Amino acid sequence: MENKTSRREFLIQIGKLGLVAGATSFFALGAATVVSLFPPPRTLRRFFPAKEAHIRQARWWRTVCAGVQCTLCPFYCFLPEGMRGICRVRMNMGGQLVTLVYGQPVTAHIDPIEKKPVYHMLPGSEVFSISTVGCNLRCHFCQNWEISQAYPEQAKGTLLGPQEVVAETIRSGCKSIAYTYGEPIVFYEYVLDTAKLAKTKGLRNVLVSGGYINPEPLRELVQFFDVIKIDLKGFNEKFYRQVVGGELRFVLNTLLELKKTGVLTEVVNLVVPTLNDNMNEIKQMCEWIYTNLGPDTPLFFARFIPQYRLANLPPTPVETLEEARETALKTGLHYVYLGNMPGHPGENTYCPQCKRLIIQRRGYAVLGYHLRGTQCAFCGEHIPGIWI
Amino acid sequence: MVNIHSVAFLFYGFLCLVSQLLLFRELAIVFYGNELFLGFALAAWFFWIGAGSLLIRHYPGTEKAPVSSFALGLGIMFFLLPLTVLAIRFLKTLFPFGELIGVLPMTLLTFLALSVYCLFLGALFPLGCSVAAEEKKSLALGKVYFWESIGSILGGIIFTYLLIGHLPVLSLALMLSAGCLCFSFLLCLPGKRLAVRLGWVIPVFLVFFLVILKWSPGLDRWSREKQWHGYHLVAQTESRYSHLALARVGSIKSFFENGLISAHFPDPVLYEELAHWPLLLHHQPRYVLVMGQAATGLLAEIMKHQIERIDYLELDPGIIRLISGHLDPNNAAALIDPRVRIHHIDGRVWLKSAPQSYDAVILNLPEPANASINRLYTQEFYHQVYNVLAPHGILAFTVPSAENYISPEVQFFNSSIYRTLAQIFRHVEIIPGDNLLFLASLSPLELDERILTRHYYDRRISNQYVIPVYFPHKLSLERRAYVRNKMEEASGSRLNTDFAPVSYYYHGKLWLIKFASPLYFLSGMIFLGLIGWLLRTVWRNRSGLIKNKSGLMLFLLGFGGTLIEVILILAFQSLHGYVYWRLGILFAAFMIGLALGSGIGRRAGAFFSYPTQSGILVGLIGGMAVLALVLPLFLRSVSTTSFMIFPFILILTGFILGFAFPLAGGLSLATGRTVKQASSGLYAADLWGASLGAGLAGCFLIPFLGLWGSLIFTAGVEMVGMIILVFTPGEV
Repeated sequence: MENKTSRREFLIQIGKLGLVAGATSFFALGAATVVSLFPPPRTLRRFFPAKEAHIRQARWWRTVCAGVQCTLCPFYCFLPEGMRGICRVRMNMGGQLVTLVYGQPVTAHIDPIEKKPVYHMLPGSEVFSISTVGCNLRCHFCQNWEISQAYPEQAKGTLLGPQEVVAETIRSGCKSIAYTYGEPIVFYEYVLDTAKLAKTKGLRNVLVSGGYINPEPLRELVQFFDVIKIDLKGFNEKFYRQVVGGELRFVLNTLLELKKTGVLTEVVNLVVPTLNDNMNEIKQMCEWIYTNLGPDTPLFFARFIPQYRLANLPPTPVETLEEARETALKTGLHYVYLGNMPGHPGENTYCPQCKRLIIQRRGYAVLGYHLRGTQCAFCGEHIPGIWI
Repeated sequence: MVNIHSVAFLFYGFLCLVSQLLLFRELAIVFYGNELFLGFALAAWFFWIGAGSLLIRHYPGTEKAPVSSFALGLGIMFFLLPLTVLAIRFLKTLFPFGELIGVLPMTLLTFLALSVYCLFLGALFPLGCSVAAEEKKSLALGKVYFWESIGSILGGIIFTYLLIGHLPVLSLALMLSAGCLCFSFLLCLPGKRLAVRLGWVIPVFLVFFLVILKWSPGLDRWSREKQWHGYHLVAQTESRYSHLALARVGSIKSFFENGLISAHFPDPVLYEELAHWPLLLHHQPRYVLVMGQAATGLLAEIMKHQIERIDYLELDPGIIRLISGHLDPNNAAALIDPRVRIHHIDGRVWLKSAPQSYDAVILNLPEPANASINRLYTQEFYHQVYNVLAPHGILAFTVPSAENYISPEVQFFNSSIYRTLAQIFRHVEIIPGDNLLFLASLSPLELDERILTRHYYDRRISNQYVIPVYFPHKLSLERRAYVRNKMEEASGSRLNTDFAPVSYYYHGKLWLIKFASPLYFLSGMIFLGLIGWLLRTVWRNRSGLIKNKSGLMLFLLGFGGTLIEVILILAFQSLHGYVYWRLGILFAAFMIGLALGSGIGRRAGAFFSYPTQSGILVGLIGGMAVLALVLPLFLRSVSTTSFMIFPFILILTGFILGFAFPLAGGLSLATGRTVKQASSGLYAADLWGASLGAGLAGCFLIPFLGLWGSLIFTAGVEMVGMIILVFTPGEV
């Protein structure tokens, strides 16, 4: 047989083999992509059977041609029967959008409010914090990826309806409830019902979110909230697309919407070395906040700690964070903090008028407090926030 | 008879081994060296070499001019090796720096990166056999195999003891490729006499050598800087153990081992927890043992207490050499403090004969990402620590976890370590956080804020992070109870022992889940489909395969031999610790066994007639099975015996493999195949067996079955294979 093939034929054979292998893998990968984006009806449900007993009908969706469309967040997921949204917890079941995580937090802890981080509400107090699984973003540096990137079936929650959450909060002596760790927007209905109930019992509500939500649902939610903490992950569309998995403009829209409603909004920006630590961008971000949200908006620059898929980056150098804080203060912002930097003066609140230290912090501990009501104890300047 | 051809085959063996070591080092920098990667890389290497050897069989015309074909092949290697090194370096720039790479791109890129080079490398073997056949057909296979093994032994020794650390990887690759070119010239230059040819080649080689020495380090540095884009690369070196690099972003310096960050500095926050929790708990810590990365901050933190002596174990002397000039004054002073004694020794070796007992043993180890690191997390290891702890002594170390929610995967991983620890120590406390801090002792541990605070002020410690106001939050009863419940309720997680290592497997699963996506799931299905298709093809051609019994035999032997080698080396590291020259002896022993076996085997072929030969081969498979079965008995009593038993068994394993190859070659030739056909088929069978063994060992067999179970599995496979061979009709 060997003598019959010529070299030319052999090379042609090899070429054909390569071509077939290449084409096969190309089509296989293509098919895999298409199928995973638009799976045939009920596939995913078969692989991940939802716990039907705890399913609730969701809000913010409409029926479109052959399925439903979720209108909660800017992704506007189109969901044929049996298909889930990008958040993994909202799904088309029998032509209706349902939420799979209502009243099933996977984690509930009592945390110092400084951990959220929220600095302008009841410093030193403890907050009852809950989260279910799921998130509509895909940040490669997520600290809580075990929660945010999980399916409800992977991480089984405990049954804890709104009444129980409120009762538990009161029992533990906390004055407020935080919807945090994961992304509270994806368990919208649970947040809304709990927050409504908490309000009637005199508790305060804190939302810690990436702000990836449409204006209408946001407006409905905000009326029950005292503080909203938005994670503005960078000021660069490319970074948002590649590392966060979303678009910056929608988060900015959310911030503008919050400004309109007047709710106390704090902004946090995680500075990731080599990825979003460009000082020009940070300057632009500060200017945008100054112009659109006002100088009283508290802004945190949080130190990046290696996490999740970005585990092979170093933490943010201190001088980068200090420079960012200087930039923000120069822009005219009054309350600029550094997060994840225990012992740094950037943790303290200074009066914008007399520049004196009015709240001294170290890590999660409040060491000094010089406010009288809502005013600076030294010069009487009004400090925005919810104070003791 | 040693002639120029033999020397060329020897160089081929040298090239195979050294280029494997070089390329694996480069790949490890891109993919961070976890167990899954090591398995895939070995599997890919053997797979492509086997495929190359098989493909060349169908390339016509080479048998007419075997020498020039072989020379041409070597000439092609001249280009391929440095290009492959550079290509692997640039792979890293495809990903954002600092991002871990998922298993799908990792597998595909490892296979892709090695494909071209290994295909050509594999093709050289049958070509070499054709060259050897010009002298004596029946001895050709054994001859090439023999010289290749000798070359590998030389390669291993020269690489690890002479080359690495003195020259950059790219320079070494260029020198190897210059060697390829020289041999290519030597073999095919006109002029009958060797002396004439040498007269041509030696000056050329010398010029190459000088050019490489002059220019390649610059090229190496340039390509490395490309690899570390986004950073300022401060210093880098190749140590015996790994590639070490120091790079900077702003004021933070990061120290990389094989591309994976192992420390940042200056960053006291990072080291305060590990140093101060155990030492503040202890009423008077005086003698401390530290293992793992400590020079960049941990030592200075420990010395804030009134310590009399610190024994600091750091296996790789290259690490301290690299970073000592870049430390801040505080840490640099700690490193030369007379109370600190640095020992370049493996932890498990030290613990066997520790000169004294310690008040605290502090481990700052890498995550148990592979089986080799896993042995510092096992029951036997903790028992060794137990033996050197003073009555009130405390063991402290951290394990990656999650602060707010412990998922089932994290839970299994953490609790396997927790439960292993609790088997040895009666008192175990956990301080929750993103990293769980485990504290273990023989006496009760009082995590009382007041005591900790008193010690803090009595010892005049000044910290940034671990300060008294922080204690209540960190010691929150609610959080501690949550973690402890999670650790204790996971009764399904297994204990981590030397001979049933599981924690690295749980860690691997945790790592995998970071990259989970529906796409992943479907690619898994595609992969399964491919395996199904392969099995179907094998089933359809079963009559052909059974006819090629000699191939099947070598496949079985390659599979079993590789598994036994991997398991023995792992068992050795657990029992005797990681000592560089001893491991070198183990690898050499295996190769010496191969060389001896093939040397004797090629003569033996002439002694025996056909049915006896095939009987001997079947017997060798049975021998491999018996060896795998008897090994557990040997190893069980090995703690009392010397370590020399390991090289002995490895020589035996290598011998069986080496002996079988020329014998199978003789059988294959007897069926009328040409030397090229026979050698390519057999070499591919041998290597594919090895590929399967290497791929399965670390990722599946060892964690699921343990070392003993894996050996029994190996024996089972060999026996089933033997039965199939004996009871199927057809000539061998």
